[in-house]
Amino acid sequence: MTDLPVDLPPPRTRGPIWFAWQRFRSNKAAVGGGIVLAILILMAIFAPLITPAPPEGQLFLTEALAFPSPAHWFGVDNLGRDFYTRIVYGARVSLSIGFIAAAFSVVIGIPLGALAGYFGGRTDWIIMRVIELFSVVPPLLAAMLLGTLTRGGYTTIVFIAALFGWVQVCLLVRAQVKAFREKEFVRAAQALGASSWYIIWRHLIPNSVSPIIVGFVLAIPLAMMLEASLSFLGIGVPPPTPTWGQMISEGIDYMFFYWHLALFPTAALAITVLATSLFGDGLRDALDPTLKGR
Amino acid sequence: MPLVEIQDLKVRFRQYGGTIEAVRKISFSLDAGESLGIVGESGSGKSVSCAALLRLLPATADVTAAKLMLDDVDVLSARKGDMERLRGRAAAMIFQDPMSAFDPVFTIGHQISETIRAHRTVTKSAALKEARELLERVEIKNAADVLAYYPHQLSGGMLQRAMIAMALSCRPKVLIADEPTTALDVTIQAQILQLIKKVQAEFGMALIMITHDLGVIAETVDRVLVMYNGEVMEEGPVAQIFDAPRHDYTKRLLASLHTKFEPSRGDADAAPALQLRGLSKSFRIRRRRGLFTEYGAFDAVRDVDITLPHNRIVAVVGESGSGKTTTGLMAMRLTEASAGEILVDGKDISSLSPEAMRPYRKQMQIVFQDSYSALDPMMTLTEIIAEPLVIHRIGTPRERTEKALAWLERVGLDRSFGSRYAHELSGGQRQRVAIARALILEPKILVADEPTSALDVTVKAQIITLLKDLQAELGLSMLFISHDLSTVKSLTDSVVVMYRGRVVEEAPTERIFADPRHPYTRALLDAVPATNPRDKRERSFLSAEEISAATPRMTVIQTGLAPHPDPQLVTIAPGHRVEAIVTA
Repeated sequence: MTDLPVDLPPPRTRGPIWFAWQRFRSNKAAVGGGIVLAILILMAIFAPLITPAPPEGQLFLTEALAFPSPAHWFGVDNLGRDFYTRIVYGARVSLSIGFIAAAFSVVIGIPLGALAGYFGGRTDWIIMRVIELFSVVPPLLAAMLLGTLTRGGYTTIVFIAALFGWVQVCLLVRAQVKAFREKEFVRAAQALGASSWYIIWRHLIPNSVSPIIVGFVLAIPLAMMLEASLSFLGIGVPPPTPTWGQMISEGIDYMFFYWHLALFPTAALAITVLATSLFGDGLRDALDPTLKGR
Repeated sequence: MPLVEIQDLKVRFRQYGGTIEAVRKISFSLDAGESLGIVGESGSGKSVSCAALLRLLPATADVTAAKLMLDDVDVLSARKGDMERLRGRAAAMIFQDPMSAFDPVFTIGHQISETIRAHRTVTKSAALKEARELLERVEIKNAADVLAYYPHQLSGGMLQRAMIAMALSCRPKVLIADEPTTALDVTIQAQILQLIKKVQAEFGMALIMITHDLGVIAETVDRVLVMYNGEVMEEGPVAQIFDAPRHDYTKRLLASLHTKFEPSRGDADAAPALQLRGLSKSFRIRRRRGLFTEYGAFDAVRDVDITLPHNRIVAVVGESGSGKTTTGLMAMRLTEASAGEILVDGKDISSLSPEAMRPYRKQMQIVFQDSYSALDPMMTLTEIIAEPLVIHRIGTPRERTEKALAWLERVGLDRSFGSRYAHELSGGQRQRVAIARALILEPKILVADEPTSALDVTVKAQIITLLKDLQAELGLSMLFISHDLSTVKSLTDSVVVMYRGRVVEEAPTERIFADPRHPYTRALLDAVPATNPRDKRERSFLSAEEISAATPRMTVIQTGLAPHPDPQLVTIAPGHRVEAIVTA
């Protein structure tokens, strides 16, 4: 038979990442959420540069409880601290707890999800029962118990948030691994004599990147809410470290007279959680393989 | 006045930041009662043109045409309501995958009678009665029962029949069949094609047959349109296309039907490379009955013996569900056998631990049917091809990359492909990469599990040629699992026919095509589509009962075996064994 030109380089076709980016870009809410989140992160990192006073310095005691003014954009709190400075520094606590807890969730969730999905059977059964255990206990109740026992603090909150955050990541990874383990490239690796560890590490986890990213981003607002709730209840990060939950809790006492003390931290928390959630939802829709825009 | 008239049809798909031209300027017409075949590989625009005719394209498609007429209605300017009436009444379509064309939650009878009632005002019972008659027209024997069945209760062939009945229910003037038999077995394919021709004559319809298979074209149509890359390459009566093709692409298409290879030179005396002895696989089925669970067994493969000599190609053929793929997977130890031995160079590997299997894994490899899921989407082609070297810890990273690139060239791809990802390749190119990965360790045994059944004809011929060349170069022993008998005939040295999990006949390739003994082998050979319209013939089909009733009978004197009520394999000539019932 005639020799055919088989190695004509095909036109470079767009990759899945490009299509994901296109889908993400067309989602206005997600792009907006991403931008707000990026601004918040930059604010938290460069906090000393954009604030007029140190967060814990009671430099304005004479003006305590002053309303917002050009000098103090968000007013002054009851202990004479610039409230704008405290809000910006509060973002450091919220965001760092969110990201660290989400990172730990991913670190716990990936191996457990991959094991459950790949081996199935008894391993899957045990991991699924553990997950059920975590999903029937109300996180706030358990967090309060643990928080009181250990007297709160930064590490405790990260630990508790990760403890309840990995479940989602684990389920996402498990579903992806379960779908991919039947693929023929996994069969081909088995036929080559590859070990289960090799297959999980080289094939299944790289192919779970999108659920991992989504799980990571969606774990962030959960951790932030948990931190705010615990700080609000007084068992979170102890004062004088500025955290939004603490500030809301204090602001409530003055709410009817000095509205700014409750309004600004609540708004900051709401905006951050909303932006992160919108960004995460957008990412999930963009990375969902069933929506491959071709 | 022709029934369908298309002039200068162009279809473009809008995509992020650009357009893709799917159909560029095609024209054709179709008279009442005529049958037209549109042949071309995937992506040539053949299905898109017909979808444009029924205005079934998604909103991202731009359709322009000088003329697009269906049954005297201008499709481009028709209103939505007119269009709905036109579909079904003027033209009805049957699709490749009947399973997804039916709604799984309604019965067949409900769906057909709904279609009838959507086009005509008749009572429910009259519509059901008509549905039953239609099912009888498409040769479904227990039509009354089938009416009450849900789609999952029917086999692919039966569903395709029901699909045809549904298309007929509106008495269309044109029947558009879009790859109606691609998903079906050879024997079923032949039956469906014969049925389509029969109902076309009975109802006096015109037919548009869209396919990539020239055999289907030769069997069914009068006039052919050859499409390539969105353009019509050649048009003419079917005999002319087959006997005197003018265009290069048509010639290439026809050449791929008649590929021939040198038989491989095996060594008859040496021990076989791979031997399967009494291999069986049964799956445990759990059935709930009230409070108790019952366990049953389903025998996917029963007591199969296959011998693969060194440097030979042995075909395993049979319809889907015959256990041929399971046998291949068991031979590779990717599925555990329930019983039996797998001998590689005389050593039984059926119970070795994964660690002890590792040296054998180097010697035996497998190529799968679906090249889309056979390559990891997250790895570059170099990484994919070098993977066996990584797993067996051979060479330094640099040597591995170099060897992978060399193999990329060896399977006919450019070195520049090395850094690309699998999604950038076509089906045939992917299959080349899969072959490179399987052969980089230079194994002795290759199991090829329908490596070409998902590919276009011309590409298929290229892949088969590549496999054959590499087989001869490396001295591979190959187990070629396939349901495509024309490939089997040209490529392999001997054939094993499997039917319902058993080997029913085994013989050298020439002999089995010249002198098939088992009724199932005969049915299989009879169903092979003609390679030329002149060889068209009426076929008779056998049901499962007829096949088992026609099992050869032999006496003790002929075979020298003890009589037994169950059929057993009997040697009737050197290398030719057939399943027969031995009687006293």
